Order: sequence, then C-alpha cells, then structure tokens
Amino acid sequence: MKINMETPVQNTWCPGCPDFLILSAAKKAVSELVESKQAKHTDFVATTGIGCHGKIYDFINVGGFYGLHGRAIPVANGIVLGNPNLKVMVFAGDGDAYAEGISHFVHSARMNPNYALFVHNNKIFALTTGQMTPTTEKGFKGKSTPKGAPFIPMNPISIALEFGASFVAREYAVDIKNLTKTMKAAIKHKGFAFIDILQPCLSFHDFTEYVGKRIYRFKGPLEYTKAMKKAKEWDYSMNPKAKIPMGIFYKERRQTLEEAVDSKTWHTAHPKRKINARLWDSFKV
Amino acid sequence: MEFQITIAGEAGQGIARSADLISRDFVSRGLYVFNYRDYGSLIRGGENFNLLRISNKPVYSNNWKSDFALVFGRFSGHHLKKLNMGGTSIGTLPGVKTSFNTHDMLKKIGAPSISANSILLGALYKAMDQPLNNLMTQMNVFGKHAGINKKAAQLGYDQYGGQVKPISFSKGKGPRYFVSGSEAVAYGAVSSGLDLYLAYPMTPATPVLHLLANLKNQDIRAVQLENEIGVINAALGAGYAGATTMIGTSGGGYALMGEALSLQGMSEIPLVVYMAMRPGPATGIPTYTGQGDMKFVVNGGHGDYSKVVIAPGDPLEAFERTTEAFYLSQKYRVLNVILSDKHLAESNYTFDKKPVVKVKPQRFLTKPGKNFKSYKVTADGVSPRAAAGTSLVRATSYEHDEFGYTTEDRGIANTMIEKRLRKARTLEKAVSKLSPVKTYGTGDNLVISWGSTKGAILDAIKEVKGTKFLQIVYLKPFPSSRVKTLIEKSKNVVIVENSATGQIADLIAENTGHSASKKILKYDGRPFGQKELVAKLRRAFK
Ligand SMILES: Cc1ncc(C[n+]2csc(CCOP(=O)(O)OP(=O)(O)O)c2C)c(N)n1
Ligand SMILES: [Mg+2]
Repeated sequence: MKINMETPVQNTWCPGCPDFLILSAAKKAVSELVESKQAKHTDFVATTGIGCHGKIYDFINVGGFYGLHGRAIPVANGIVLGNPNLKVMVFAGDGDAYAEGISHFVHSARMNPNYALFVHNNKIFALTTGQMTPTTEKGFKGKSTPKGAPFIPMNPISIALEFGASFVAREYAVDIKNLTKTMKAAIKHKGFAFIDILQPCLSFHDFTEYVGKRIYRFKGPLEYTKAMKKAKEWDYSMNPKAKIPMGIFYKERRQTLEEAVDSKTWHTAHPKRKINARLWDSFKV
Repeated sequence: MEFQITIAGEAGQGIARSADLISRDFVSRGLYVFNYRDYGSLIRGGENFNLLRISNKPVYSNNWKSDFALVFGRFSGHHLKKLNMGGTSIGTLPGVKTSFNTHDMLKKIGAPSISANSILLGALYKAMDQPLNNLMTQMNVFGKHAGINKKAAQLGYDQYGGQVKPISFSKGKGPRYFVSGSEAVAYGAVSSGLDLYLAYPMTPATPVLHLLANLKNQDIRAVQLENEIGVINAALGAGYAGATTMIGTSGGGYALMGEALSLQGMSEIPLVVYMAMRPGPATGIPTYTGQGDMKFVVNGGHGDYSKVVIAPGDPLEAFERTTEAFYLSQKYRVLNVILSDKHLAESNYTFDKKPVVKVKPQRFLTKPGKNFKSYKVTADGVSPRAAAGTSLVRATSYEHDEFGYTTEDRGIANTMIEKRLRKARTLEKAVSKLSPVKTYGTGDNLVISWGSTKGAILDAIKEVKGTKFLQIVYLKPFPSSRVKTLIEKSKNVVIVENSATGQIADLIAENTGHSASKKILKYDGRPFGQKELVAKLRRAFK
C-alpha cells in the first residue's frame, strides 16, 4: 500500500536547496520501510531543531516534534524513554547539533539511544542569514566575521566516534541514492545512528564545487581504529588537497539507552494507574 | 512535655544516622519529632548537626536552643552555648559536662571509630532516663554491625555518671508517620502514576532522584541525564510519547531550563517540575534553605502562557499536592511546579494522619483518529491529548494551527494564543476547588506566608494571641479573592518569608491591589525557629 508522505504546507526553502534532497530521501526511506511492512507509518516521529533544516517538520507526513534550537536530540532521548517502539528521526542543523546542542550530541553518542540523527551540515547558520558554525572553515567571510572566521572547524565524525556513537556515516545531499540507502540503514540500526549530511547552502555558503570534486566512497563499516583514521582524512577545512571519504565509517550493536534503563511504552504498559495512597504507609514508624 | 536534642559532629561521623535512630524511637512511642538537618557543602570534616524537637503534641519546627547536646566534632563547641537552662552536654570535646574518651572505650570492645556515636547515644539515653532497649531495637538497621553498636551503646549507658533529666511521658496512641518533604514528593509522584523521573543532581532536589532510583517494586524509572537542558527537553519528549513525567532541580538548574519551560507553554505537553529552592543568587549557599526563587518560578519562561505553581507547607501536604500537580498538568496540558525548599525537603516531620487525595490520577489521553488535531481549538482552551505513535501527533515550539503545522498567519496566531490563555480561567476554576489557601487560628492579626515557613508559623501562633495564619498554597493561579477578603478583614497584616525581600508581598499587590508593608524576613539560609518567630510576631503585632 502506498502511503502519503506529503503535507499541505507550502515549502519555503530556497529554490534548489539540497534540503529538498534530504527531504525526498527521508520520505523515500520511510515509505519504503512502511510499504515493505518493516514499520508502521504512525511509528515514525521526526524531531527537529530550529533553522532551515527544522522546517522539514512541516514538509514530511510523520508525527513530529518541532523543538527548540539545539534541542532536537534531547527531545528524542525523551521520546525513546517514553516509548521505545517509536521510530525516531532527528533532523538537526550543524548550528543545532554542534554549537547550541553539542553537549547533547556527545553525551547521546555515549548513551546510545535508538534513533537516527541526520545533521544537515551546511557549515553555516542559514536561517539567521549566514554566520559561522563549528564546522565552518577558518577564514570564511560571513556577516559576523567580515575578516574571516577565526577558529578551526571541528570534525563531527571523529568526535562521534570518540564519544561512542554506534553508527557513524557521512553522506552528500546531492548523492540522493546513497543518502537514501544510508538513511534506511541508520533507521534500522539499533542505537545512536548518526549521519553528517553535507548540504551546501546556495544562499550563504555554497561549497558544492569543493565537495563535489573531492568526495569518494569507501567500503564500510570499518574496524574502529581504521574508522577513526578514515574520519581524519578530512578536517572540514577547505584544504584544496583534501579527499572526502563518504559512507558508513563505523557500526556496532551496543546496549541502547532504553535497554539500559529497561524503559517501556508507558501509556500502554500502564494504561490506567490507580492512586496508591498506601505508599504513605511506608512512612509508618 | 517538650524537649530538644542537638547532635553535632563532623560530616561522616554518623550524625544524621544517630538523629534518625533517636527520632524513630520516640516516634514509635507515639511522640512527635521534628528533625532539622544542618550540613555544609562538603563530604568529610566540617560541621553537621541535627536538632530534634520532641513533644507529645505535634511540632513542625525546631528551636535554636536544646536541652541535651551530643557534641563530638572538633568544630561543634559552639553548641555548648546553645543549651537551655539546666541543659546538659555529652561528648568528646573539652567543655562538655560529661566527657568520654571514646577512642579508648572503643578499643576495649574492639569497635571501629564510627561507633563513637553509639557510645554517646547510650549515654544520652541514660541522661534522659530512657530504656536503652528501645534504642537497641532501632539499631537493628545496622544489620551485621548492629551487635557492636549495641555493645558501644551499653558501654556509654553504663559509664554515664552525669546529670540525669528524666523525660517522662505516656505512650501516644495511633499510628505515626515520620517523613521528609523529599520522601513525600517522591512517593506522592509514584502514587500519581509517575512513569519517568529525569534529573541532573542538584541540592536540595537530589534526594528525590536517589529515592526514586532506589525504589523497588514500582514500575517507574529514574534517569540521570547530561544536564538540566537535556533533562527538561527529554521530559517533554517523553510526555509527547505518552509517559507521565516529572523532573527535579533547584534554582540554578531551573534557570537553565528556562527556554524549555516556555516550550512547555507552546507545545502544551504535560510536565511536573519539582523545584527545591536554596539561597541564591548563583551557587549561593547550596545546602541551606531559602524562598527567594519564588517570583522567578511564578514568572519564569518567556512569552505569555498558563502554568501552575504549588507550594506545599509540609510533607503531608507535599504528598497531597503532588497528586494535584500531576492531575492538573495532565488534564490541562500545563506546566506544574511543585515549589519546595531545603527546609521542607530535608527535614523530617511526624504526622498522625494519612494524606487526603482529592483527585484521581489519570493519563487524559484520547484515542485519536486519522487527521488528528493536536491543538484543537476548544471552549475551555484544552485540546485533547494523544500519545505519539497513536496517530501522526504533532508538538511544536512554533506558533501553529490546529494540526500543529507552523503558521505566521495573524488570524490563526490570535486564535491559538487566545486558546492557550483561556486555560488560565479554566485552571482558576479547577484550582478553586482544591483549597488553594488554608487558614489556621482566629484573630485580627493576620500572618501571610507560603511554603516551608508553615511549620514554624503553626508552632508560633499558638503563643501569639489573636493571630490567624493565611497559607497560600497555590501561587499560580493566584487565589486573589480569598486573599483579598482575608486581608480586608484583618487589622494587622504581616508577611513571613525566608527571603531577603518578601516576594509574596509583590504577588499579593499584583493580584489584589493590597500592599503588605510589614515583613518578617530571614535570609541567612536558616529556617525560622519557633521561639524566634514568636518573638518576631509579638513585636510585629505590638
Ligand atoms: C536559543 C536560540 N538561539 C538562537 C536562535 C536563533 N537561531 C535560529 S536558527 C539558528 C541557526 C540555525 O543554524 P543551523 O542549526 O545550522 O540550521 P540551518 O539554518 O543552517 O539549517 C539560530 C542561531 C534560536 N532560535 N534560539
Ligand atoms: Mg546549518
């Protein structure tokens, strides 16, 4: 049965924005999983941060939680604690996940909640009209850094590996075929499945040419030390000599957050709770 | 019959445990014990003390002078000056009336140094002329270490040759419950159908995290997360998924949660926050008490939205009111703050009653059909709530239409803002049925207060003739008309608050137009003592 992935909301992304490609890949991944009966439509839930990426909440027909800037990840942590059966997709921006919400990003990698995290990495704060983020290359001239971004970029792939993410991948929004495939794998992975999706911002930071010329695919997942080595091949700078590896760096099955705390689908596990004022009796001396 | 015991020593010397043993003994014999805990922000060394006020009538506060003092810390000498006339002291320090060389005594019976407190407890029982076997029974909590501690207690009892001030009373009848505010909130929450408790440790809220994490035979989970921002956002995620969720913190953590408190207002996901105050600003005095965060909590969160703030005054109320917090937050999809403080959270009170619960805990979840309206516009402002996964349920931080889709449309924005604000009136009606204020005593003098000051006030007004006490339990929605009428009926009005500015006066002025200029304030991190407050009230009403 074909499912409806469309919403009635008018799209407000810039024409040609690779966010459209991430949206189509996500819709495709979800509908394929539902149509092949691997999941129920109503099981899917998207959480988003605030930024251009966050608008995906309005454009994809799944349950959704449009959170605060930087907080798509902790909201998702709560969702899986509240109902471990939901299939959660977290759509975050690079500003979201790596600046405002970096603490949630690194600690969730350790805690290993079962959801897929898709970071729309345009190396820019797009919705606020073009300021540097933690993945912006040093020297980038933006409105807040007219003399060039003063800091070196961070590498979210090696950081995710260092903090114990159990699925780590990099994809390019323009390569929608591979993106869809890896997204599906991430949704199916049990644990914290992270994809850093390179998404050039046509309005404020168009690195299409730089990335397009340098990407290459490798056969993953790799063994941990090799994955780390591969992750460090590109440091998110605009080094002309760099090569950018694309694919799944690392994957392991490890106890998830929900498994660790033995969480339940609470409202069905306990549809009705009776008042238990008898608990007061335990204070009896 | 009333007396007070001080037990003072260094952190790690078993002060709190000793206080607990004595308390439980007297409570088990039908007396009322109030146990005040005073400790610093340290793990070893420094000074801790407990004050046990014990009476054959209910007592809800302590005094600052005792009749018996057990002092065995290097830094506890100052307690010797805080004895009532005829009081006696026992300990290891020079200057105490009866001094013990616990080191040598313990060596003789081969007991570890931690058992020094058992020697002093034994001596105390002799000084009070109380049967030692009662204490021995309580010592069974030591498990395999019970034997050696009983031996130490016997030694102290036998070797005590000091002043004896016999305590005599007839055994009280009926059940007695000995409980702290933390225990009451934790168990009240479990009774209300709690599924998840999320927190990042912060004194004085931490005991609730510990209690719930160690609770057995209850199907709830307590999870410590990465920080307070993570905690509150996760709580909203869990609520969206259908779980009944509570989070806990103190002022600093509550400040970090600020943005997401406002997200609660927009997303309308039920949330209960246990907020236990300590003196600020900033790190302040972490292990002491204060009520200075009240206005911050009542006003917190950016934007206009409805919320509920409840301030229970003692553990019995904390249990009852916690059930109301869950009920209101689930039914009306609002933020509900249980406002407590260190004094209520960490003092133990004795009750002879069980809580009376006025509400029935429910999830208030509907079974949604297709095309579910997560934010349906209704007359009372309350949209039926569904759990994520039961339909395509939406929750959002943006202004939205009935389905939860983002909008910037003027008309829809107005409709939705007004829908949310209609809940304020709906809540006022609901809260008016839940005794949002309580009054005690009669007279033209009116004491107005809220929260943990209740104990000292109840104990004090018995000795201040013609005094009525108005306890404001619901700070939001504010019970304006009840407060207004009572103020207008009284001759003298005085505010009592554990803060530097008397914030309740501002709330009263804002909601009733009455200014209460007379204030009894205390802001050194310590609660009001009973006698201290009697003196201050008498002066205020002169
Ligand atoms: C707490 C907070 N700070 C700042 C903002 C303003 N803000 C909105 S979007 C955004 C940046 C978004 O960048 P990113 O997450 O990379 O998303 P993009 O727009 O690039 O997709 C910022 C800073 C906000 N909404 N909330
Ligand atoms: Mg960005």
